Amino acid sequence: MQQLTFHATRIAVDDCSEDGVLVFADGILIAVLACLEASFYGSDRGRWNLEAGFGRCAGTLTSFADLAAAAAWIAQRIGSDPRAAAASARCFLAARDDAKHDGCT
Amino acid sequence: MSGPFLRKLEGFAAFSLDEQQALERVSSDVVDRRAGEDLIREGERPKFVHILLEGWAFRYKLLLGGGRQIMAYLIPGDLCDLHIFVLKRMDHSIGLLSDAKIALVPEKAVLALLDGYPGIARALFWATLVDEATLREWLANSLRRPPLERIAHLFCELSMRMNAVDLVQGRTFNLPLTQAELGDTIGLNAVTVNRALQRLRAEGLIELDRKQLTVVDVERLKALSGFDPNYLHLDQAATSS
Repeated sequence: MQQLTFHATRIAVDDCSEDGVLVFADGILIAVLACLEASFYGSDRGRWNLEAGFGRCAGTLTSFADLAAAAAWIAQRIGSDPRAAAASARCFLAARDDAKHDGCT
Repeated sequence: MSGPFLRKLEGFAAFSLDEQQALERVSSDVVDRRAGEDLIREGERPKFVHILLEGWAFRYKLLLGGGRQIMAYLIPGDLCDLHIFVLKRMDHSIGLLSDAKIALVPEKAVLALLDGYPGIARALFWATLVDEATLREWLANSLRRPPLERIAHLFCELSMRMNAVDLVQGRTFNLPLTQAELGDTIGLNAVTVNRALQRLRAEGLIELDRKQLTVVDVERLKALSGFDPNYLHLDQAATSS
């Protein structure tokens, strides 16, 4: 079963940048997701957009309600456990926001 | 009621009074339909040629998994498939993007028009060729241009087509499309469409407010997308007479 891990980054959008994450499956880059922060996104604000997918995540245009939902979708595409992936994503965000990493993988 | 239909075909040919009356007659059976309805669905057998007199329609196919690809927009004056009776079953659906007035033309009336009026038959043939040319252009647009250019190109085309049937006021016309529908047309998701629209606004190329599109700077919009209107053949009547 492949493990998803996340790496925080900034992603260029037009002339600005947005918070994003690189998603790795067993250390291999599989997706790039951006958090939609700008006010012009309207009802999409706060969602996570799949900016690029690789391997089995390639070629899809979609966005997700939150990072956990994105992780679950990625896990499904690669035949991994969606619930574990969603939990990893929540843990990553909590660690990022609290600047604590204890207990998370 | 055939105003935009006649106006569109006059872009391809000049008609005698007799021909104009024949076009009026053939499009006199008019029905009102509501936004969101399908005129015809994939798999159904067509009973009429539809002529759009008011409102917007679109051709689409539904994909496995819930996706949708939009393959054409039909605006006032456009015909939904002159040669539809050749097909036993529709290979795509036609839905309405806004409330619409539609002329229903039965097969017999279409055949009588084609057989009795060679000038009209020729204009309808040109209209069909333009539909095909537009589809080719859309294919190249969606497959090969970056997102911003795709939208710019589509807006250039729609502006010219709406203008050809006298539906542009100043530089503004009705564009009854959501960002999701624009995305389904040019192979992008609504988020990417939204970003591109913001850029076009910021560059001072367009204004888009409550489904009214204003092309502020058409020359720059054309230059940005490499738009060449040759495929619309809007000058056909001038060169053929």
